[in-house]
This record gives sequence, C-alpha cells and structure tokens, in this order.
Amino acid sequence: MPRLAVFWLLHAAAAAVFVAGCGLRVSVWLQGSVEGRTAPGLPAALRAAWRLVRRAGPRRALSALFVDGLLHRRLLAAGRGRWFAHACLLGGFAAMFALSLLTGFCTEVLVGLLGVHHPLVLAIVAKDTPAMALANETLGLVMLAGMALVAGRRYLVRPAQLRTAAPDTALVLLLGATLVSGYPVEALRLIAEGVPAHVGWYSYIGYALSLPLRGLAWPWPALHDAAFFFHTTVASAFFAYVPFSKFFHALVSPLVATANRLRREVEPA
Amino acid sequence: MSVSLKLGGYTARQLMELDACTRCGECVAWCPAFAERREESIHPLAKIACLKGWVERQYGLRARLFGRRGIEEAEVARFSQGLYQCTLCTRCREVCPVHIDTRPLWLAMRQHMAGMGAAPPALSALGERVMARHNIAGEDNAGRLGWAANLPQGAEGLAGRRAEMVYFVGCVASFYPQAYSIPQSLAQTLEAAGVGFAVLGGEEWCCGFPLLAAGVGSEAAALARHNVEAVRATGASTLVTACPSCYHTWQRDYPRLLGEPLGFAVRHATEVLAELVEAGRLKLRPYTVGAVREPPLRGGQPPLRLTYHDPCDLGRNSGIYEAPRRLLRAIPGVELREMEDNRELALCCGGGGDLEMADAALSAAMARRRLAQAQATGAEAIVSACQQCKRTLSAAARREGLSMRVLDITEVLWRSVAHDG
Repeated sequence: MPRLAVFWLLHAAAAAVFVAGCGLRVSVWLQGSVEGRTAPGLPAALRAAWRLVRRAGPRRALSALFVDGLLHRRLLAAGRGRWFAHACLLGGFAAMFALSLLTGFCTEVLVGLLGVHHPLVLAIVAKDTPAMALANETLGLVMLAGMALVAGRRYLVRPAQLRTAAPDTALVLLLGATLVSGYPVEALRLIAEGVPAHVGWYSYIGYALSLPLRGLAWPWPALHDAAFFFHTTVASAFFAYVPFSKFFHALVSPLVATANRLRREVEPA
Repeated sequence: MSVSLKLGGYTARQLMELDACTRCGECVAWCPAFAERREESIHPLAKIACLKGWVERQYGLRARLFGRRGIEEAEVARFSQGLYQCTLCTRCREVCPVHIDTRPLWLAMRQHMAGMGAAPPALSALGERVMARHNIAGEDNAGRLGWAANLPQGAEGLAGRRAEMVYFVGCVASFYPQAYSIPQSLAQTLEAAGVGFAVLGGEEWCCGFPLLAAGVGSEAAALARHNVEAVRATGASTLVTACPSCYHTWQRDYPRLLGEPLGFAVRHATEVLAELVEAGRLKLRPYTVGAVREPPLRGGQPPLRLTYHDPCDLGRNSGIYEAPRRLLRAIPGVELREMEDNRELALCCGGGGDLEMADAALSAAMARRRLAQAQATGAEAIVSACQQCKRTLSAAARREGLSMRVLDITEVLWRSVAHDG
C-alpha cells in the first residue's frame, strides 16, 4: 500500500477515535446542569456560553481567552521556567498541527484534487523548501525542548507539589516517542531520496543524523518506509489518545480559564 | 457494597473543570490545610483526581464498553473526610493556572457526599439544629439580642423599627459572648454616625451558609426566603452585616436560591464604615484604649502597630480588600503592617467551611500558623473583619499563650470614634 495511503488511513482512524472521544467527554459534561437545568443538551449549553460572552463583550472575552486561556498568565506568575516549558510544548504543538493541516490541505486538495500549481502552494507541498524544512525541524525541536523540561521537572527535580501517576507517564512516553521518532524519518528520507547537502541541511537535525549513515549500503527506501510507518502509527495513536488522556486539558483548560475569568468579571463579588 | 455516581448535582462547567485540571499541583503547594496535615486526601488536586477517577469508572470509555465499575464505600468515606478537611478558603482558586472555580466545586462535592449519607455526623446534626432553632448554636432564637443588653440604650427599640438600614448580626455574634463586642461596637458606631438602623431580633434566622458549607443546604432557600421577607418588611434599602460569610451568602447565594433580585443593597460593615469615615460623619481620635497596649497609648508614644487579616469570605470570595485597610489607616496613631501572605493569597484562620466541626485540631493548627505570620510583622494586634476569624484566632492565641491581641475592625474603630463615655 502506498505510504501516503497508509498515512491518511491511520490519521482518519485516529481522527474518528478523537472525535468519538471528545463526544464522550462532552456527553459526560452535559449530565451536569446549565443555568439550573439538569442535562440541558448541547444547544442550551452553547447558548449559555454565548450569553456569557455577550455579557462580557467581545473585547473582554478575547482578552480573557488570549491572556488567561492561551498565554496562561497565572502559570507565568508561578514560574517563568514552567511557563516557558509549557509554552514550548503547547505553542510548538499548535504551530506544528497548523503547519501539518496546511501541508495536508495543499497536498491533497489544492494540488491533488484541484490541480493548483501556484509556486507558493508547491513550496508548501515540497518537503525540502527551506522555509518548510526549517519550520518543521524547529517546531519539533521546540516541542522536544519543552518536553525535556517538563519531563526533567517531573522525574528529576520532582518538586513536592507534583503527583506523578500512570497517566502522566503514559502521556510523556507517547508524546516523547512521537516527537523523537520524527527525526530518524527525516534522516532516512534525506538519504533515500538523495537530497543534496545544500538543500538537506535546512532539516538540520535530520541532516546531522543522516551524516554518519550516508556511507552505508543499507536498503534506505525500505528503512525510510519502516520508520515512516512507525512514526505515523505513534503519532496517530497519540492523536487518538488525546480525549482519553491528561492532554485533553490542552483543549478544555483554555475554555474553562476564559469562562471562569469572564464569570468573575461579569458577576462581580 | 459499591455505590453509583450521579452527576446531576454538578454543573456542566464543573464537570469540564475536572478535565481542565492539568495536575500541575499548584493548589497542593498553596493549600493551607495540606500544609498542616500532610494527608494526600486533603489537597485540592486529590479531590479533583478522585472525582474524575470515579467519573471515568462510571461514564468513561471502558464503562461504556464493558459496564460501570462501582465505587467502594471505603473510598467514599476517605474522599469525604478529605473534602471536609477544608476551610473553603479558595486560595487554590487564586493560584490555579486554569482558573478552576474551586469553591462551588467543593460545595457541590459536599452536597454530593451529604446526599450519599457520607457527610460527618456533626454536620448532618448541624442541619437539623439550624432548621429547628434557626441558629447554629441551638439556642432559643428569641435570645438573639443578648449582645445588646449592655448597650447604653439597651436592646429596647432596636428590633422591629422601620429604618433605612437593617443590621444582620449573624449567629456567631448573636450567641457567642466572646463575639458580643462586635455588634456592640458596630451598633454604637452607626449610632454615633447618625445612621438609622434596625435589627431583626428573633426574626433573624441563620443565613444558611453553615448548611451550604456542610453540603446540607437543601433547606437554605427556606431560610433565605424568611430573612429576605423580614428585611423587606422593614422597608430598608440597605442590609449591612459584619459577618463575611453572611455577607457573601446574602450577596451571592440568596438571589440564586430565590431566583429573584433582593430589592435592597447588601453591604459589608467595612464598606459602610469606610464611607462614613471618609464622608466625615465619624470623627476619629488616636486609639487610646488600653485593650491592646498597657499602659494606654498617649501622645508622643510610637504608633500602634496593627496587622490586618483578610477573612476568606470577605477578601477572596467577595473581593473586599481595601475598605478595611482604608479604615485602619484612617485611625490616627495606627501603623498598618502587612503579613507575608495578604489579600488574594492571605492564609485562612482555620475557622471557615465548618472545619472546626469536622476537624478541630486541623483548624487550630491553621490558626497557629496565621498568628505566627502576624507575630512576624511585629504587630501588637491582629485585626480581622469577621467574628469567626476573631473567635478562631483568639482561641489559638489563648492556647499558645501569645501576648498578641485579636480584635475585630469594628472594635478598633469604635475605640477610636470620638464619643462620650
């Protein structure tokens, strides 16, 4: 089966599990009450949320979302190092996700379905375009740095306030495996496709990893396929696991932080 | 025997909050109860993680696929114990990076536990007592004016008259003699400022906060309805109280419980008094009474050093931090010193959330720590704006044999008001 077909198949399955998992979570939330009504249903809950935003006004709502929901002002107050690690991980993840969506859209829809061949679209689709290669490599590195800081704090520094349980470790392992396994894929691709040094070095980590291997007469295309499938499987597993894991907080906490700050502002004590 | 979990007592937002918790442990680091008693069931993270685990067991993917797993009664008992070893001080809410609104969450959990019959027996009995006697002391409610007997004008005419302002005294100040000087001071100060006010006397019922805090608040609406009707009958436009918990309950819970606006303003005594001082309706002289310093302060002596303790229900839960400080700074000869933890991050005195009834030793330990912070400022007295804080801190100071005095802000102000006698 072609590599891309496997990629999309796995991602489609993961997306289905992700959506089902999110639906499961939301169905649990909706067993609680909204404005005094028990089990109100999703439309009523959304209407209540919208009323809160309208009472607060768009400027205050956006400010709360940006400052407390996304930038996590209180985490910054708690410690710059922790905020930095979190920002690397979450910011890197969000940017990488957006970049992947853009690449996928350009590859499958604009080029694949619509036959668009605009130079900008082709630059996004091509893996070795300097900007794309640098962005992918750097965002992965940013996330890895954040991951290393988070894991170092949890497992080495071990401040007294942390409580490490199996779900924390499962998440660290799965996310770590997803991040780390991306670089060998790139290294093997550079060798398998014979990408010249002046182009390949934009993927600076993958390129560095590929250097000691270049003289070996190994079946690079097959190794690249294997590494790609492994990376895709792990990444898909992580994606599917999100709604069932602690990482789900990345989706929920911005909503909660924003809503609770707005509630305190529009319902003054 | 295992139990099943019903989620109807929580709001959808609270169930979202369980998923929003990042397990960062910031609440663990700031929890004053956990700081005194290092038991894993006490801190906020444990409560959230436990309930979240139960939700997973009964409503998660595995439960949907293979059936629900029950919750053992021993787990419920352990959870409930930790839940009530909390003063509802909400310091955890102030530091939570994702803004989890812990106070209503803890209250919903307590209601849940009480509904399962897992609340501490003393708190279940409290509910029955309040509903039967209309006060937390279990006394004859007609005796609510005991504090007024020693007023120069006596209790005569205080209750039942029509006035612009109703003073809601609260159970602690009405029935615990060590707190009598708070309503005495406030009543005389209002008189001195020429503010016409009335009290409800036997028509004042417990505000219902102790029941809400205990998780047995299903009857609180009846108390609210009675109290609101009693105030409306006086024609007052303002209700004032010196009790932060009463204040918070009137201000935040009553409109929700009754489903309608009250029709009059609710204010804490410190707000009213600060306005009276700033409007020049109360003339203040140097603090001259020897209650704090012996011999009494005289001209030329160094200023009286006071430190202010923010009551949780007044500060964090109601947002009133500056009015009491403005009042204290307005008193000539007073130097206000801040404790290490103040305002949003102030330590709790240990007297909130019905903790004293659930775990008196833990409450006392928390009070000790707060007094130590007060002592570190070099202050001669710790001043609060809450009768329960005064009661808890005074008891701890007495037990520890500390020379530090514990005063309520109404007492300090009354001793500074230029008046005859």
